[in-house]
Amino acid sequence: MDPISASLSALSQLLQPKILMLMVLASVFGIVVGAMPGLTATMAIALLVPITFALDPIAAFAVIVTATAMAIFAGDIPGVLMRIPGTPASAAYTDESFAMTKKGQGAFALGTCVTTSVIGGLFGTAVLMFAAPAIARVAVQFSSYEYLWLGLLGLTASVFVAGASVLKALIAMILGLLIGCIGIDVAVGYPRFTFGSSDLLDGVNFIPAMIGLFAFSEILRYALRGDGPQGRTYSANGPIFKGQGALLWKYRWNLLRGSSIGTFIGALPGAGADIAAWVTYGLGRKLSKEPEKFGTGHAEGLVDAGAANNAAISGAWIPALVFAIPGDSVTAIAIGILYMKGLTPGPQIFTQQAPLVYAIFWAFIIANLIMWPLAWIAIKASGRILRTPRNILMSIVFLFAMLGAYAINNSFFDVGVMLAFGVLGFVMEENKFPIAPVILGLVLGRMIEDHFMSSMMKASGQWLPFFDRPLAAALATATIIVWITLIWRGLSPLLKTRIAKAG
Amino acid sequence: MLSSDRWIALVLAALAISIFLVSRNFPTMAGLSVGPGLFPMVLSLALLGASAFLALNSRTSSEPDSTEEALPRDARSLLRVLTVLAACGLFAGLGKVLGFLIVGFLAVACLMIAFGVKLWRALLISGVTVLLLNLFFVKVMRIPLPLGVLAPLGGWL
Repeated sequence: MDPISASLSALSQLLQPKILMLMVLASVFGIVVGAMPGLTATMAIALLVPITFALDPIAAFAVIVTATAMAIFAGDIPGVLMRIPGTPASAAYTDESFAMTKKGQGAFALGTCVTTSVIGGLFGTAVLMFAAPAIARVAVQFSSYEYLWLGLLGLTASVFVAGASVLKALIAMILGLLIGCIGIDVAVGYPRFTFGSSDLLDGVNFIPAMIGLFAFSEILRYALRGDGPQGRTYSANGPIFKGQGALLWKYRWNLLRGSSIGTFIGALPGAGADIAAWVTYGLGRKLSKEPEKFGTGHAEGLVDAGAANNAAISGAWIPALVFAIPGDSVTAIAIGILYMKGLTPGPQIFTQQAPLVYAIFWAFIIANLIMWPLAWIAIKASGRILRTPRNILMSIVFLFAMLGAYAINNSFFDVGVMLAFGVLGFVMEENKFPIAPVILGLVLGRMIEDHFMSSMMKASGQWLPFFDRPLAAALATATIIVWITLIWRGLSPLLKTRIAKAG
Repeated sequence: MLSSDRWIALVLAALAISIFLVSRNFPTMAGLSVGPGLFPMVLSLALLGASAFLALNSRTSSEPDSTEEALPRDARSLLRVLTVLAACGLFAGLGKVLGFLIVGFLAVACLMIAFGVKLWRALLISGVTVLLLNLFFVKVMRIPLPLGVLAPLGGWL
């Protein structure tokens, strides 16, 4: 099927009333979850997984794409009105937007957040539409050597860009890789670390693991810490979109810069919308003509980061679709859903499942376009959303988490897996270990080992062929450079302390 | 007293050594010196090294501890955590026997009460939520949920 026919076929399938209705429902779900402080976009997607079972792949991915885009935007609502970011992606500019609210510009700040989100999202989608198929055409020529180095580079990048300590991100990634070793090994079919359990022969199903890490750990945190002190909730009175055109024209280069950097950061494994927002907010402040105004309720501060976090969502789909390497936690779930539907992400998906790929592109466009009216309604209803009692909401999230874990294989064993990962995620986060590298390790571990073993067999146990092919050599060099940088970054504080003590 | 990072480093080191020892006994592939044990062995060595760094870092770091604020240790908080874990255990352990409707209702109602929702409100919301979710999953999404002791009423549910 040629690209134009595939694209039109995908669009006609997406425009069916049933799918459009599902997208609207997913939007409402995404907005509600995103607007609740502490409930992340990843959690929203993890809780949606059981619903995607009964849907065909196009509908399933339309739901995921829409809910993610809405949840990332909705995270701005409590950030602007309560100074509590709804999702980590809004944290970078929460102080800036709240300062606008205190000046009586809350509705305008939310309007800026929506508009930049829509433009950033559409920019990221355009890059995804053009870059992903082009990269896929190159990736068809990849052998197990290139995939091995690419997987290692992806894992390393996820540690490198982790916001937390590099060492803790590295430990989290190794834990994920080790958990990925559970089950029958890919080379000789030997059961590893299964403790005689037949449920573990196929390895740890990472959807219950994700639900545990992102949803159940949050319930445990709520149970332990409670609601916490609630600040004042401001209301978003006044015009939302009036004056946005002039603002965006004034800061058009910020918008372009935020969207471009956001898309690029989104495409890096492990670096999601939150990192994109922090980087672009910092850069926006550094390059601003009025840096002194940042932090005082300056709308320029919202433009870069507001565009970047939604652009990053689309960017994350580039490595996910082309190489099966998740760009963020949401695409890690999406890869899992692709496998569950019997589809394999990789360059071949662009030829074998072209309508699905184009449907994902179109879903992004539709989701970003319907964001404007739905966001307007959400902003107007924000007071009601933010007043939802957390004790009732968390209990319902608990039930969704249980059902989500159970319904994947109709197995109560998976509920146990979710519980174990929930406790692990809670302990990790309380000790400032990032959890996204665990997921990347879990998703990429099997792929890396599979390609490593295939490469070893092809190379008859020799190491030189791992660097023989030009692309493999380039990827290997890049990976090794990042490793050396990481080791240096890890060692330098220790050395500095030693030198300081000795001196 | 050891800091939490040093405790974690200790646990991770013990885990790494155990994995290394178990992986050493895995078979190798025909004609090659490597096998299913190689990957976990490399990873366990990396984990051992990283945990040693973590322990060293926590010794030299000027930061007091990795946990930002002390966890609440009052009886009420602990009871709420135990209720969450018990509700999950109830769902996993008795879900098949009692069925989703009963176990889901009990788990959510207990959780809401533990979280401070008034009794009548907790019972009402739990009942309605469980019924709606059962209806949505079973009738709309066609995903079967266990009926347990309510199996004789399967046609109605």
